[in-house]
Amino acid sequence: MQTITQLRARIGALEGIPDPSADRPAATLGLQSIDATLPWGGLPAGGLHEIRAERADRPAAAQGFAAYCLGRLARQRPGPLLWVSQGSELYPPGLADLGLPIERLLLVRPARAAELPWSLEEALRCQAVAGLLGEVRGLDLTAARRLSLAARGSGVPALLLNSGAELAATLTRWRVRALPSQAPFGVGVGAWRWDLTLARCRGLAAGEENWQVEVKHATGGFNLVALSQHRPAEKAGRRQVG
Amino acid sequence: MPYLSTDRLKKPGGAKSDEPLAVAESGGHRRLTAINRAAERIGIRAGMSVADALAILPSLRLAPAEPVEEEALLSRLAEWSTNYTPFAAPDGWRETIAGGGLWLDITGCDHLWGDEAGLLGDLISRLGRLGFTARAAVADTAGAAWAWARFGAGGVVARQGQRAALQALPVAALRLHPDCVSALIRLGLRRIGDLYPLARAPLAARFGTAVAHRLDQALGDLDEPLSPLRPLEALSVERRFATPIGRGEDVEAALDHLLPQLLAKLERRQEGVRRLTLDIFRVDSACRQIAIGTSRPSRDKATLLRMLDLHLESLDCGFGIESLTLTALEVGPLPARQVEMTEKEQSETVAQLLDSLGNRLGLQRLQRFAPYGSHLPERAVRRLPAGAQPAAEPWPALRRPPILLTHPESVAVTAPLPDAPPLLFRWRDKLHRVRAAEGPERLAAEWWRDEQPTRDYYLVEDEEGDRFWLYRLGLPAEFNPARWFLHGLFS
Repeated sequence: MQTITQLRARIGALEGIPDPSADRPAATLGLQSIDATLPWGGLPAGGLHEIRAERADRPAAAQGFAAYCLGRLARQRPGPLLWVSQGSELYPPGLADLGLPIERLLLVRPARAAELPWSLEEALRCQAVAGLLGEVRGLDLTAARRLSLAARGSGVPALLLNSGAELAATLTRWRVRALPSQAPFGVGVGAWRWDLTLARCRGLAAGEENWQVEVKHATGGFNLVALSQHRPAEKAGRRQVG
Repeated sequence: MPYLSTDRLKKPGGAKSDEPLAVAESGGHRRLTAINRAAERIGIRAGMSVADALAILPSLRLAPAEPVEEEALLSRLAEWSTNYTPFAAPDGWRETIAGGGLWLDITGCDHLWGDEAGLLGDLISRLGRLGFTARAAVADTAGAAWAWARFGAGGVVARQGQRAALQALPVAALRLHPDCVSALIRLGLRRIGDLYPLARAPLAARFGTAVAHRLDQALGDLDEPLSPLRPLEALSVERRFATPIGRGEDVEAALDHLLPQLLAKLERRQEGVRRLTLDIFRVDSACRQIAIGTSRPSRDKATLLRMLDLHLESLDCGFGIESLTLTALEVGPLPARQVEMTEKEQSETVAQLLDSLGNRLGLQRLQRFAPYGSHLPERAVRRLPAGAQPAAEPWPALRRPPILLTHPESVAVTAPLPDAPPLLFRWRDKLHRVRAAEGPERLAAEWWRDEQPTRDYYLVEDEEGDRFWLYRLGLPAEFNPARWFLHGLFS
């Protein structure tokens, strides 16, 4: 049994999957059920995580989840949080509401799209950065691979809020959708509710995990609204040998 | 260089040198600021109004004055003249005389050209080949050299001979303010020699200390410090190439070799570089300077090299580069390196990251945020430079969206009553049915600001769960029909 665990860790290291038992602890996501599902017990240090909107025309929830995750990374490591984006519509008061410590937040706004991957890589090479969030519109394989290597080298976790084609070389891929809220007495709008789908995770069997969660604004963390459902990968996608 | 402004214009093969040419300032009272020799010969003078000059010669060619470009040219020439001495500076005096000048401190450099006259001859002929008419003088004091080059015969003033040389020159040669010069002339003090016998105290009482000051400086009784283009004992290293190099890789390789030499010098002094310049001298006598800055003293070779490399991408090598000079223009204390990664060093690594991002993207593209006490949402955030360290100020406990549109977008809204939340709204050609709403939150601009209508904000959630921040402009009765805008998106 010991041998198998060691062997798994070695294969994982070769494939660029962080070792779950490494001394760099992962950042928990604030819901027991999610953290238990992820092989690292949370978002591990030194890897790429892709976050996408379930529907491209409703991107706000995915951005909110990304900001929430960045806030969770901030709890785990000291140092600045970098948000690399070409847009200029970030509004810190709203981000603070999602648990992001604004006094540690640094916004990097490259003027040209070509400078975006460079900025991300530069930031990922700096060990002192607590976490990185990059808003990208797809990345080619080389760029994603370079970022992944940089993250592995420095141990900085990176969230890529992606509105383009699905990325390669990421450890996890999340799809996010907003859910109708439940106000306490049916009056007004309640705490934000999201539908989170873990569409891909290195080290887990193919298939999707799904949670419906509610943000606890005051204390941070999530309330579970609907239980986790495991959807195995469709059989049609696999070729049977026989 | 009395005809600098006009020489500059004829350089790229434009007007022939014998055609009268004048440079005039723009604006209401147009005066000539500079003229060329041909114009001078027919009686046109700098300081004349354009109308007078055109009366003398209707076909006079006029060019607009470009003081900024002239300054830049002068500093380029000063840089070029570091061929003669490491101590060169452009002359900033523009009050009484047209053209521009250069200061060269040739102490200990003249023997390379035989003697002082040899150096002057070489300088003038080389400037002539570049297209500039130049006059030059050497004297014991900067003031005397200045006066002799512009008002005297030019050439070498003998050692300790400045008193005799300046005697017959007009007082304007003392670099005095025009008002001061005209006051002196009104009293009959036309020549510098007239000032020699006067007592200093009454002179100072009448004209201020400037006259006596300049006189003492010219005669050598008072020291005159000049600001050289580069610090005298600059921390710099240089590499000359036997064969000019022309490839970017070669420049990088040379830098890879040069930079450690400079850093070693700095390490001995326990200092780090704040501002670093790389001077690239090309074979065709053009030189280019690359400057990088760091937010705190640094001795990190890799970071500095990377910052220089960013600029080298756009380097034009021309016909080849004959020498490279790397200078630490500004340094700061930086003790010897520690091995362990302390918290301090961690913040240094962050500073390095900011430097490298800022040097490529522009420092204004890095921002931090702090709360600002304003009711209007778009004003409630202060943007700080990245180097600032904002305190952990609390943000107001209000429900605010993480995305705020820079320009609120107009939406068509169906609301049952003027002051009720909307039931339906259409945004970006899509209909949203409101499931739940919260509000209104009435926000108004501060009273001392320009008058803007108040805004009633609603947080609404549509049937699919997306949440929006809408506002109605003005009080319910103010606009009919009501005008609605979408200002933010909640997650």
